[in-house]
Order: sequence, then structure tokens, then C-alpha cells
Amino acid sequence: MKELFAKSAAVLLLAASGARATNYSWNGNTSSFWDEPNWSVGPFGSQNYPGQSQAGDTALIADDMRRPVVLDVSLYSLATVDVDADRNAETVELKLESGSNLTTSGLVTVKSYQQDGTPTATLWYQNGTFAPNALRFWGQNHPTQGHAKGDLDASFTVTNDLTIRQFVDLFILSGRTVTVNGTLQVGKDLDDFFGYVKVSDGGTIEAETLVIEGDANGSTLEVTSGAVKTK
Amino acid sequence: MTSMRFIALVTVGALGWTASAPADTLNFTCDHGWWYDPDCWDAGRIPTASDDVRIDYPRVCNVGGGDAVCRSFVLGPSNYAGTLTLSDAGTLTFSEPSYILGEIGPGRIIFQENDTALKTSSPTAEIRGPGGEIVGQHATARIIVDNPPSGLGKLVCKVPVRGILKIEGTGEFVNEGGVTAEGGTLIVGPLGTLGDKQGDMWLVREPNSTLLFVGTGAEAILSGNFVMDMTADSTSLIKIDRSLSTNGRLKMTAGVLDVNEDVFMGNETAGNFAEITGGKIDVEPGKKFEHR
Repeated sequence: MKELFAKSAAVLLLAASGARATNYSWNGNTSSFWDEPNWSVGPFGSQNYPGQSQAGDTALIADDMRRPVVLDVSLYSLATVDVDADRNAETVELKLESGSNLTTSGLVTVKSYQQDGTPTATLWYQNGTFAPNALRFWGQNHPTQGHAKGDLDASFTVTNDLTIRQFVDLFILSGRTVTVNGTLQVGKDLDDFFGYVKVSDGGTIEAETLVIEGDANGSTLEVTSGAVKTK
Repeated sequence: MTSMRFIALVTVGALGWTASAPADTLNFTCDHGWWYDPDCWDAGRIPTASDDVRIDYPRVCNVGGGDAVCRSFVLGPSNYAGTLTLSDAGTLTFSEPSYILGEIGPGRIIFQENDTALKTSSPTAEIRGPGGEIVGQHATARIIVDNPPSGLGKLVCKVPVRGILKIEGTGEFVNEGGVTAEGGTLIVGPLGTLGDKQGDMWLVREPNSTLLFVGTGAEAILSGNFVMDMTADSTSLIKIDRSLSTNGRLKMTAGVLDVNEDVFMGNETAGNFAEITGGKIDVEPGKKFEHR
């Protein structure tokens, strides 16, 4: 009896706090908007959305049911966000519009398709607030296929590192700055990867440290329009 | 500083180091003439390794077809300084602090042809300004700094070196006047040791210009800045084939920095931050570039 009471109390406590972080996957069943019932949550099929009720949720966007995925609401801090064209070989895009507030305590990954093909992954930061703890763009291994892209029209700060794997295009609007409080790491990010990042559109990346490392291939930072600085 | 005061200071300086040793000062007297012509020197003889020589404006002295020696040289002293040209495999060897002056009419050492050399194997060689410069015009023209039979050879170069040439040898070359690749390839190394000081520049100017660092052994520890000039374009290149670190900064507006060995740059405390507003940094397989 005592044991049953303890279990019931624990369940009640958990429900009251709503504290268990959840791993969400985008299914786009309803619309393009983040805050509508477009998310599959494990076996429950819940219709809430990541960051709605508590901090620590994760979000996986791997299907292009209706794209781009539009975020225009303020969220609790998420743990990780994955914009992943690799998982289902589908082009995916996350667009942050006015009214959005996306802050993470973990890594935001924008990953394109790793096999031969063209599916791309794009982060389009148009407006609102974006504050990733760490940000990784992971492109394809061929310069003309499947890039990971950042269309960055507003300034934001990465708390730790901005990392680049394989071919990545960053379009940073003129007058806007991506501030990296850690390292801008091109290639060889923990594992062996080369990196090739092309910065264009006139904006600036300002990082505490710039590191470019080759693996079996060389790595490259290319600035066609804009600036990369250390601070 | 007025010109007269400057001339006086340089003259006193020159006298200071000539008076401390039993050397004669030979003045070049031909407007255009050969080093090896005794009639072109006021002493009526060509200089020896213990002589100091002076070439004033508008005189042009050519070293060609053989080896010339002196203890030191002064192109000047005057606002208008003379010119020393090196041609036809000519080599000039010197050992003590020398001057290339000329704030209005710059004194110059010009490497006009291949296989010419300015050479020292002294531990106390310097080339001081202000106003003068060293200009390379051929790929096998060389500044050679070798070690003497015992000890270390060292050349502190306080005037700009620019153009197309090589700086090499077993000794130490210290860039304190700026080294600029311009119109071709300027090769730094192999050298025993490479040095510079804070604020000095390793620079590439103009299209189709390459500044190439070669050599093996210990990492070169530098303090100067690496700069791709505003006149550079996509054909301009800084190529680093030896490991080096500098407290200085990288600044590039175009061109390519090709990193073939590990390279570390920057100094946060000194405010030496990277500024890349165009061009590419290519890091070869297994190598690392880091800018703090």
C-alpha cells in the first residue's frame, strides 16, 4: 500500500511539474508552423510542440512535408535542434521569423544529404531572437551537391563554437554579424572531416578564435563578400 | 627632425663605427661606373674587406661579373643617395652595419639580373635606413646570410626589401623594414633562423605575386603581421611551407593564404586580430591554421 502511494505521488509530481523534456520529430501534418500540431512525439502522438511547456526539449526536422518550417513564437530553451536532410534524403529548412525566440542549451545542427544527391538543409534566420549554445553546419562532400546553408539576415551570437563540416554556404546579410564566443572551427571537428565554408552577401563572422584544419583532404575558408574576423 | 640634423646624426653614427676600427672610407666618384674600376674610387684602389665605402647621389655603382667586398657601405649620407646595382652574377659581401639612405631620392640596392647576391656571414651585419630600399628583380637574386666558421651569422634588415628574390642561408635574417613580394615570387628561406619584430610586415602586393616561406626544422617564432595588400587579387599568394607562429595578425582583402605546415597567428592581448575581407585560406591535409 505504502509502495503504491509512493508511486502515485511520483506520477502526480511529474505531471504537475510537466518537467520531462521530450524529443519531438516534425511531421508537418497540419501546416508549416512550428506551434501547430505538426510534431510526432514517440508513441504518444502528442499535438504540442517543442519548447511549448518546458526547457530541454529536442526538435528534429527531417521531413519536408510543408517547407520551410516556420517558427514565429517564443519557446522555452531547447536542448538540441536538428535540421537534417540526411536522415530521409529530403530537403529541409527552418525559418525563424518575427516573433521567434529560439535559444538552445545544446547544439543546433544543419545537415545536408551525405550520399550522392541534392537534398539541402537550410537555416533561414530572418528575424526574431536566435541564441544557439553551439551551431554546426554539415554539408555534402562535393562542392556542387547538397550543401548545408545559412541564410542569416539578422545578427546573433553563438555561445560556444560554430563548426563547419564539408561544403557549407553562409549568406550573411550586409551589416549583420554572427558573433561566435568560442571558435569558428572549419574542418576536423572532433572527428576527421574537412571543411569548406564560403561566406558571402557582405556580412561578418566575428569569432574568438579561428581554426581551420584539414583531414585527409584540405580545408578552406573563402570570403567572397563580407568579413571573417577574430576578436 | 630637420634634414640637416638627420644628416649630422647619420654622419656621426657612421663615423662612430668607422672610427672604432682601422678602416679607410672609400668614396665612389664615377657617375656610372664599376666597383672593380680603381679610377672610380677616390683612393685610387678598389675596396677590401676592411674598407667602408660611400656612394652618394647621383652616382650608380655596378657590381657585376665577380665578387666585391667591403666592411660596410653607405648609400648616402644625404637626402639623395646613390645606387648600387648587382648584375652578371655579381656578389657584394659585407660584415658591419651599413646604411641605405635617401628620404627624397631613395638609395637603392637593385638586383638587376639572376645569380646576383648581397652576402654576409657576420654576427653584426645590419642594413639601416631610413629612406632606402632593396629591390629584387630576378628569381635567383639572393640575400644570403650564412654562419661564419664559428658562431652565428645575422643580418638585421631595417630597410624595405621588395620585388622578386630569395632570402636564404644558414644564419638568421631579421625583417625590421618590411618584406614585400611584388611582381613575382619572393622566397624566404631556407634560413637557419627567421625573425622580425612587432609591427613589421610580410606583405604581398599586386597580382601574380607570391610570398613563399620554405624551410625545415624548428618553428619560426615571429611577431610581425602577414598582409595581403589592397592591390592584390585572386592570383596573389602567401604560401607557408614551414611551421611558424606570429603574435602579429593576418589581414587580407583578396588572394590566397596557402598553409602547408602548422601556422599560428594573432595576439588577443595586443589586439592583433584577424581581418579577412576577401580571398581564401587553404589548409592542406593534416595541417592546422589557428588565429587567436
